[in-house]
Amino acid sequence: MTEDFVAIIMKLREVEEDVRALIEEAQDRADKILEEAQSSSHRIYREAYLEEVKRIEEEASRIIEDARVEAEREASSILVKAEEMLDELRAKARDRFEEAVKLVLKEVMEGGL
Amino acid sequence: MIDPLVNRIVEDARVKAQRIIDEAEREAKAMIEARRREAIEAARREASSIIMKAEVEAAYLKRRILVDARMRAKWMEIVEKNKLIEDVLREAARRLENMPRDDRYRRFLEDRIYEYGVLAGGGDLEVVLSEDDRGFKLDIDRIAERVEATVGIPTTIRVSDSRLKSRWGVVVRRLDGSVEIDGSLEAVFERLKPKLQPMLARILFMGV
Repeated sequence: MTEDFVAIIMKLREVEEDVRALIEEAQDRADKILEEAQSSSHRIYREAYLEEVKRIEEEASRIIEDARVEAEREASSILVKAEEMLDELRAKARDRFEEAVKLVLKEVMEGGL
Repeated sequence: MIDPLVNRIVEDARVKAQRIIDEAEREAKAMIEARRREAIEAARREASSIIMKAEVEAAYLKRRILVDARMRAKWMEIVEKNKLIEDVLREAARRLENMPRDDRYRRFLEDRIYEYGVLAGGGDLEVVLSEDDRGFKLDIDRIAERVEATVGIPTTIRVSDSRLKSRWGVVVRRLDGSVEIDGSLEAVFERLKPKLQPMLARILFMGV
């Protein structure tokens, strides 16, 4: 009976050693995981920062590009209207050409120079 | 009898070890996520100025493009109006150059010579005519008398051997070269332009 008890104690001590080793090993691994996370956090920060800045810069470029496209569309419409107005001018001037020429002749021939 | 107990202790230890590792992984993941969020927040703080700058630039760009287009449109209008007015002046010049050398034209030339003679202050004057008008019968002596009567200075007028470049008009100058009144086609148009342009613009473009 006493011999059995001693054997049990011995066995339990052995197991206790194994358990301690197991826990220490786990703790070492956990420390390593945290250490790696700590050392990579600067890189992660930098990458995330640059990625976000890039996204924002793209958004900024899009704002400018959208404004440019919209303005060019409006500018094009202004120039189309201007061309239409020029056609109207030419037509009007064609109709009144003779009257205008006669006015010049009258001014030249009758006006004091 | 002891084995189940040992197995249990070992199993518990394994579970505990795994928990330690899982906890470390969770903590590491949280740490990385926190850093990532921190980076994004920092970038966004900077973003407000980037976006604001882009909006200002966009507004400036838009205004510049529109101002440019409006100026271009206005410039096209000005250029076209000038061209149409020039067309009228060119046609009028063509008709003047080709006008019949009749009594009306003779009277016109005589009136101009008189007028320019008075402006020149009388004296010894010469008249420069176009090649087309060289043989024209002008009452030069009568004009000289009229000038003399107006300015009160003895006046003579002779027709110069020089010729106008244009086919219309007249130049009157003192023989000593001190005064010259240019009534050539180009000079007359140049003088009349400031008066004619608004008048022509009213006729040609009224209501446009």
